[in-house]
Amino acid sequence: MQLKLHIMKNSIIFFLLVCFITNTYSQIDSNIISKNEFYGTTLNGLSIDKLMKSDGNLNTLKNYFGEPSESNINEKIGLKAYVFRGLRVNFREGLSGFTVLNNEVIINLKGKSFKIGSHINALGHNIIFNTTSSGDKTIILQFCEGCNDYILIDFDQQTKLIKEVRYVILT
Amino acid sequence: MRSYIAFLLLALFSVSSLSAQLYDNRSRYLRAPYDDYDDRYEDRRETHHQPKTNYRHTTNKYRRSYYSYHKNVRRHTRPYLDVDELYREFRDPDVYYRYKDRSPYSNNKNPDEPKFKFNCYCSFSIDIASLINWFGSQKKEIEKERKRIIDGMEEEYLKELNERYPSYRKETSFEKAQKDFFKRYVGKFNSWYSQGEKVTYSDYQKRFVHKLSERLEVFETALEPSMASSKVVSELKKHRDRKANLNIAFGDLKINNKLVREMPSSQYRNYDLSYGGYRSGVSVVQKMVSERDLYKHFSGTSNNLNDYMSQQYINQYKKEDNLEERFALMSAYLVDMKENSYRPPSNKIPPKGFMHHVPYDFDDIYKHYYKSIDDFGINSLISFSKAKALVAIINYPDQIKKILEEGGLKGSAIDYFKNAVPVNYELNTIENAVLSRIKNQAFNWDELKNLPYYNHQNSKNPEVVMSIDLRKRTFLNFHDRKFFDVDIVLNGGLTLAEYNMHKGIGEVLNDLYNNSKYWYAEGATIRHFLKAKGVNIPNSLSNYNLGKLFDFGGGNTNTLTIQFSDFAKKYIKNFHHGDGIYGTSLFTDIVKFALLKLIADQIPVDFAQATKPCPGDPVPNPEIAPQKGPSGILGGMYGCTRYGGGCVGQDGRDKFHGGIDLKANYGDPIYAMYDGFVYSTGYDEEEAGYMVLIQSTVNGETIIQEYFHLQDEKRVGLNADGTLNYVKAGDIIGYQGDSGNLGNAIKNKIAESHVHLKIKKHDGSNSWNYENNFNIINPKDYLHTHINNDGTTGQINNKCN
Repeated sequence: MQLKLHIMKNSIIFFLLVCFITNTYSQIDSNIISKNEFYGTTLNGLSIDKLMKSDGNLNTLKNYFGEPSESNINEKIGLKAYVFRGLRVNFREGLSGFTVLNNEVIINLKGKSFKIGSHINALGHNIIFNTTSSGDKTIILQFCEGCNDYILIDFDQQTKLIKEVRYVILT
Repeated sequence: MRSYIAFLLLALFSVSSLSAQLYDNRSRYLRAPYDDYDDRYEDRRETHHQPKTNYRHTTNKYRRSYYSYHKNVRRHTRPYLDVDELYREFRDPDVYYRYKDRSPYSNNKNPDEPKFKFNCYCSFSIDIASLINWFGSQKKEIEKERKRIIDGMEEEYLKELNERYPSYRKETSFEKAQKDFFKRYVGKFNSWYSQGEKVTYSDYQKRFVHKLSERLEVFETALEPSMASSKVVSELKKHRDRKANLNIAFGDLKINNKLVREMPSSQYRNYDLSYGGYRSGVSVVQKMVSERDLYKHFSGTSNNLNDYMSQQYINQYKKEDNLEERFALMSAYLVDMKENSYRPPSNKIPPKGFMHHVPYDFDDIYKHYYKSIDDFGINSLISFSKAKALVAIINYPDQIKKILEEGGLKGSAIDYFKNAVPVNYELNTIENAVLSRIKNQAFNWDELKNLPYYNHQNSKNPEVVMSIDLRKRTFLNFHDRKFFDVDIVLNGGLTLAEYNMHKGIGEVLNDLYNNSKYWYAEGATIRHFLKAKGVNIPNSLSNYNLGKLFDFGGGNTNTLTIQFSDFAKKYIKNFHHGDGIYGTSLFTDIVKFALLKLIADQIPVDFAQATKPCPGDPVPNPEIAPQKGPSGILGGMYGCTRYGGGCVGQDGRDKFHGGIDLKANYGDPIYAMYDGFVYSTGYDEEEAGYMVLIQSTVNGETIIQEYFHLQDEKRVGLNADGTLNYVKAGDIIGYQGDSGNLGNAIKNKIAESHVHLKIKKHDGSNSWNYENNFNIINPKDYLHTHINNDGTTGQINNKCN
């Protein structure tokens, strides 16, 4: 009986260890905002929601970002990839994702405006940071835990200045 | 008068015979002195600041040992009364518990069980303390009977000894030899034999004692039926009743009519009641010296492998100071460590187990252990142990082979092989390797003979590719108590003390070698570090095999090192490294050595081809790569399996995933599922990354397979002249990368490395527009390997039929 108890005790310890490790290694630290706030995030005034609905319509995009500096239209695989001033956005059977490249795009998130080069304090002071595999900090925004889509804000680890903003749809 | 004399003679004969019988069979009746032993023992331990140890916290080792112990003690206990020895031998708590737990006379549920027990077959159990006290005066008679039995064996004994050990006969008079032998060694053999292990000269000893016991059985049968009604038994009953009022308990044994508890401990020679073992190391050293003397007598004339090995051992260390002491301590430590499942990591707590009599002082052990390192360098103990096994293999290949083959893979032959090396620690790796190769019918003795056993890890120009301080590990810290606690349960008795003793990760790893998880972990680690150096190991070489092929160095250090040896560099080929040729120290394991030899002697092993997937699978043995977070493994499946809105699935899942994610490590080759033409090789920086699209006809239907997140380089592409490139199922179409959104997701720990497989099927119309005429379907249906609906991989069919 005591041997069984011993095994049971150690099994529990092991279970707790596994739980702890699983929890530690699998969970990202993201900032959960509302769905409206998430899709209402704007790039030069164009919300993500509208960007998705544009389905890569160049005229719509031009209204907000001007003429694209690069275009890659590959009908064979349904790809429409544009680089505007400060924004790269791809469509392939819908929005693939975008990356803000420089400070020519003003991003408005939950009423807070920022751009590439802004200090992360522009996002507020209650930001939750995610730790990458290399130990760097990043900022992830989602509207639900484990949501497939997320906004990723990368910043300089020393100066805390934002250097990249991406919208990612996991494949 | 005549009848009166006859009656007296008859009575005397009965009493003497019975007393001899009772004693000769005493081991059958042992149990009663320990009925009240629990509390007393625990009290004594507490008095001496020893933690309470649950002796029932035994592993199967103990239980197995018990059988051997019980069986042999019953049969082979020497048939003469030696109170001192009896007390020493049977008061050991471990012996007691083993006996008590399994004894047919025990009754753990009823501590008040009578100490005498009779049944209709007229057998009985008896309180040995009572027996000793009651028959104390009969010692001379019993001795006489014992001598009669032994003398009856003398002629046969002489003959056998003379035949087996002629040189012994020449060197000394037989009478003296016989007497010395019996006095000095039979008791020792009995002791060893009762331990269930370390049975040297067992054949000889068993034959001798077995014949002795045969006679006793006859003797017993003749007298036993009369016992139930005898005066002797009635006296014993009375004694039992008296004893209940006399407060006689364990510890009140008498020796020479003096209570043990009233004696100074010096009267028990080196035996110390309070400590539970011999206090002085002298006795142990003496034993070892005696053992060596024995080998000395028989060396050169015996075919016994033990003799040879012992001689090797002695020769190797004969110039060393304090040989006996070191020998004793090392042997005792190693044997004891193997025997026990767990011991608190204190340096002052005496051990339990068979070697309890060893002057067990951790500080001392440490001192000697590290002395060996100072003298012979790091890993000296490990190498030496392995060397001993290898010496046996090299010098006695036929014998060992025969032993192994005759015994199959079962216990006795292997045990013998283990016993062939006096200290059989560290033999596991070699033993397992040998067994493994026998199983695979790949046992090559010539190869084994050529296996270097000394400094085999050395390399003149090794390339150290990794060195980490294991103390900085956050999980599975090898010196973490919790880890060991868990591991003790999971791995069947690895001891914390064992690890602490060696403080060497090499030791830990050696033990973990028996666990397949270890090989996966090792392979994964190697893969990780090779990747950091720009070496991409294909997925076809699984982590398991990678771990088997390569090896960690380390030894008695907290630093874990991977290095590529010169030898390995020379022979390992086609390893998808920029320089092409790499390996590591392959010499620590025979299996690795064999693999290396195979590679060197025959053809380079193309790992990529070795485990090419069946047609229909883009990677070997495909597994779903789970999503991190709540989507989990289902999130890696096709359909409404994720979260984020847009569809309605089960369990609240509401985000569509247009393909399946299959695990693939960076650099793994990705294979064409079906024959077909390369439809396109696009690049979508925001999502799919570098991709390959292949158009195939499957069951008369046209499909496009899309493989995402590849590396740009080495992708199959369109022909230079613009014609379509045709690939066959199983052709490598590219290598796993982290392009598109994957690299970022991996970096942020949102996803793990995978190839995203998407399949679109043509709608059967006459139009062939990618967006309009191809519909996304579930790729699972096109895989060769069945993926269950819960995301797990079904049975893998490597026959590709």
